[in-house]
Parts: sequence; C-alpha cells; structure tokens
Amino acid sequence: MTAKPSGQRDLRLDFFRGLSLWFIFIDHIPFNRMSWMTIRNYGFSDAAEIFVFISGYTAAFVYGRMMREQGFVVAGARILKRAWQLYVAFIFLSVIYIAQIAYVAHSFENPLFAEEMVTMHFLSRPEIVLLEVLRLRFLLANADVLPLYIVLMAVFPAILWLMLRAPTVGLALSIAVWAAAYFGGVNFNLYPTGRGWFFNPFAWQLLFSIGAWCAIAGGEWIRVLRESNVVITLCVIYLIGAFAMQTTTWSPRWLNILPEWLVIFPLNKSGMSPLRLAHFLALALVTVHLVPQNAKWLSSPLAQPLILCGRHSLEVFCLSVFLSYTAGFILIEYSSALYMQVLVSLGGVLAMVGLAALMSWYKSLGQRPPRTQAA
Amino acid sequence: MTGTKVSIRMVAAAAAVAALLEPARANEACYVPPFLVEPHGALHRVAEAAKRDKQLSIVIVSGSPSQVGGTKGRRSYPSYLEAALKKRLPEIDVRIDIRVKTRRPASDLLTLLPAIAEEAKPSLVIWQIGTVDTLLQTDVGAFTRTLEKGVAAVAERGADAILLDMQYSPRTDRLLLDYSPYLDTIRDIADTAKVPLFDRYEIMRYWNVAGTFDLTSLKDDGLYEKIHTCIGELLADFILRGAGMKESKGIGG
Repeated sequence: MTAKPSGQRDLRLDFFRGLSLWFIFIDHIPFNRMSWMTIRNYGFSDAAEIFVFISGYTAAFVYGRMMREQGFVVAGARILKRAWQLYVAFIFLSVIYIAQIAYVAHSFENPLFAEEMVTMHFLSRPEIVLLEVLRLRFLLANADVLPLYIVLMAVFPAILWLMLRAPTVGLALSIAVWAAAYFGGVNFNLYPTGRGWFFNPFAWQLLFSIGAWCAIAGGEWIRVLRESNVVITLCVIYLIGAFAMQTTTWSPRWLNILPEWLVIFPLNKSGMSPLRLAHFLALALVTVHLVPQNAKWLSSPLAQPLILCGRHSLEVFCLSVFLSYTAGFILIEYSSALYMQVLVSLGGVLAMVGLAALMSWYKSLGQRPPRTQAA
Repeated sequence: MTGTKVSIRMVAAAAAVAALLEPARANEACYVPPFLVEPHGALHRVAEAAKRDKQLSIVIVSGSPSQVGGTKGRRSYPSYLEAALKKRLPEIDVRIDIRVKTRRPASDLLTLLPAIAEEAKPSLVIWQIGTVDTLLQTDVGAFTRTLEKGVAAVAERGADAILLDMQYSPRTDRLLLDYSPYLDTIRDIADTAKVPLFDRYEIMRYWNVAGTFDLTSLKDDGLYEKIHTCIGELLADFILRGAGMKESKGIGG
C-alpha cells in the first residue's frame, strides 16, 4: 500500500500515534458509547498522553537531527513553521466551532434553557471573541490538545537546543516547570470564564519533554528498563492496580466500595497528575517490551490505516477535531441512537484514514522522479 | 439497540398503568425508570410534620429565576409541585416558598439558608443547585465545601433537605459547559450526607434519549410547561416516598 519504510522510521511511533488519534476522536464525540473501547476507561492515563509523548519523541528525533546537521537557525525556523501551520489550523477550527455556537444561540427561543443560554451572551461581542481566538484565549471545548501542541512547538527550538547539549538539565528544568503548574497552579487563562487551559501547557510540556529526552538521550535507559524483568513486572502490577481502580469509576455506586483514602478520582488531568504520568510511562515500557521495533504485524495490511494516520498526525488530528464536532452536531440534531453513534464513529475514522491516504499520495507526487507518468 | 429497549420499557410501563386502572396520565407521560426517582435518604421531618401537624412547609432555594417561576406568565415546577402535593395530600396544608438570588452561585445561596430555616421554619428545603456554578465555573473544591456546609446548616436547624441538580441541556452541555465535575460533586455530597438527590439532570437525559421529550427543540413550543409539569409531579412523589408516605415500588411516577 505504501512505500517500504526507511530503515530508521520506527513504525511503532506511527502506529500508536495513529491509535491515539482514533481514540481521541472517539472520546471527543459527546455522548458516544463507543468511547468504551478506548483506553481511558481501563487505567489512569488516556490517549492524550500517548499523543503528546509520541509527538515530543518524533519532534526531537526529526528536528534534533536537523539541528545537529544544519544548525539551530534552520531547525528552529522549521519548527516554527510547523507551529504556524498548527496555529492556522486552530483558527480554522475555531471559526467552525463559533459558527456552530452562533447558529444555536441565534435560533434559540426555547425558554426551558434560558439560564443555560446565558453562557452564549459573549457572542454579542464578536470583536472580542475573535481577538481572544487569535490570542489562544478562546478554546474549543474538549479539544485543546491542539493549542497545547501549538505552544509546545513554539518553544520547542529552545527545549531542543538544551536537550541536545545537556539532556539531564533539560529534563530537570522541565520537571521544575511541571511542579510550578502542578503545585502552584501556573496556567494560561481562558475567555470568557477566566479558567485555566484544560491541557495546562506548563504541566503537559513534561510529557513532551520526556518524549524528546527519550529520543535524544534515553535510548540506553529504555533498553535497560525494557529488558529488566523486575521493572516490567512492577509496571504490569501498577497497570493492573490502575485498571482495578479505574473500574470503580464505571458506576458511581462502585466508587463506594473503595475505602476513603483510596478514592483518588478524579485524577488531575490538567496538571498531569504523577499517577497518570506513571501510568503512561509504565504502559509505554510494557509496550516497547512486548512490541519490538521490527514486529511483523506492524507491516501487515491491517496496521496500515493506523500507521498512515499516525504519519500525518497534524492533518488527521485537525480533521478529527472538526469531525468530532460534526459528529456531536449530528447526534444532537438528528438522532443519538446507538447505531448512529457507531455510524458517526466509524465514518469519522474512515474519513481520517482517507485524509491520511490522500496526504501520502500528495507526498508521493512530490517524491516521484519527474519523468514517471502520473497515473 | 437502545430504541427498542426503551420502547419495550415504555410499553411495559403503560401496561402497568393500565393494569392498575389508575388514570395517572401525568405519570405515564413523565415516565422514568423508578431507580432514577428513588430517594436515597429519609425525610423524617416531612413525615413528622405531615402526620402530626397536618402541614408541610417547603422552601425552594435557587439561583436560576427562570426555572422556579421568574418567567412572566409561566408556571414552573414549584407551582406544579404544590398542586401535585395538594392533590395527593388533600387533608394537609401545603405551603411552598421560593427564595431566589438571581444568577448567584451556591456560596451566595448558602448565606440565605440559616435565615430561611429560622423565619420560615420549613420542614423541607429543596436546594436547586449546579446551573449557576457551572456557568460561572466556580472552583470545584469551593463548590464542594459550600454544599457540605449548606447541607449541614439545614440539618442543624431541624429541616430535611433535598438537592435538586441542574437541567440536562443537550446543546450547551459539552458544546460550551462541562457539567460533570459539578454533577459528580452534587452526587457525592448527596451520597455521603444521605441527602436525597432529585437527579433532574439524569431524568431529563433519560427523557431525551427515550424520546419522551425532544430537548433539542429550539422553539418555544410548550416544552417548558411539559418539563416543569413532569418535574413537579415526579418531585411530589419523590418527597412522599422519602417521607415513607408512598410505596417505593411505583412505576416511576
């Protein structure tokens, strides 16, 4: 289906990033029972962690080499170009989102929800709303992974510069910033509520930086940890414990089974709770333990749709934000029956794969020798 | 599929009503599965006041005027609740007072509670909560403490309490507002303090899924009256069951 991957490309990164994109999409459709399939119900961490970590890893891998070979300016400029693309995509998605809210607010005459509609009054000042969108202060509900990504990429030249010279210092600095967010509540503010970003960039940069650190300096560490049976056993025990804990959130009644001191939910997702972080890292270690880089099934046709999506993650992620809103709109406006939930979920995933295939095709056009006939 | 499951349930409910030969039309139209309107916690004061003093004084505290009678020319659930209670308890003097602090969060309503308990001496305080705090995005920790204090304040002054959570509004829910942290808090407090929670959110969500009412309607097409009638009816039975004055194994109504 696609060209043979180059020797260095780690298909696991593409595969699991693709998987996290599918999960994020399914989780972001409101009232979607398909979200029972995604990992967030079976442990502390969820698809967002996978996505951010792999994004950090890949960014460091790709731009790190560029920075070594072509210097700080060239690599930095490339990274900022990427951040700019993300920013433009974000503005585009926000316009669609605001249009949807405006449509509802404009045609709303039902007195039953008079109180709830107060929340849409901010639309009466479009000049402010638009400015706040540009300033990243008005974020699409439930989808601010994208602005997080923008901020991370915008500062990534500096992170990468440091990581390449003194990875340990870089990681320590990242942990310090996380602590300021987790314990001190440092965060960006949102319009109109003044609340912080759900994906607090000061906290979530830690995972991105850990990803970058792994790509640059962590290879040996990962090898040792991955091959240690003790470590893997501990990880598995932690994952099983987390799973058992998570099952109690499936029903409010079950939460009562736990003794008071064990009731840890909800874990702080905005501030990246250490329990979530540990859960993700354990999951990642067990995964690299089980799935070697040259695992056969990664080249099987069945894995290709996921790998494709992971390879074009920016485009696919943006589409998925748009799709999850559209899907929510369809479920609210037409029918939210279970078959509709299945339908919009499947349809969305197909659209994501379709876009990824299209992007690959575009890319292959650019790489073809000019004399080859384009069929 | 859900659709079929629900309709079987609805048919069963309708059949049960018919079998009882009770022309409970409102109950039928307002059907929700019984567990959604089962009070977890007893209303001793209500039972006592009704039996001994033959009177029932209720105060409804709310930060959302349009939901408790602030909208001109519309009857809202407190009014329907009063009518339903009077119908069910003809020999008892039922009085309902409403205290509103327009679009003020729970912490502001909390300051009202002691005075209400002193002067109105109600047997029951229904604390309608959640909407304004979700809108204002109150700090969830502060919201939790407010609720705990409020529930304790009512109990201290010898009245029963019922928590009544926000409406389920499919459009604003998730599109702009995330109710879940506030809902979870309300449910937690109700659970730990053994205060009956009238879970309006789940009830309305059920109606929307079951197709009883289309809550996505944009128009002013009588939905307001229908929902408030049903909430009033269900709440009346909820109170009576909490006070042990009605069988628990009803068919939801």
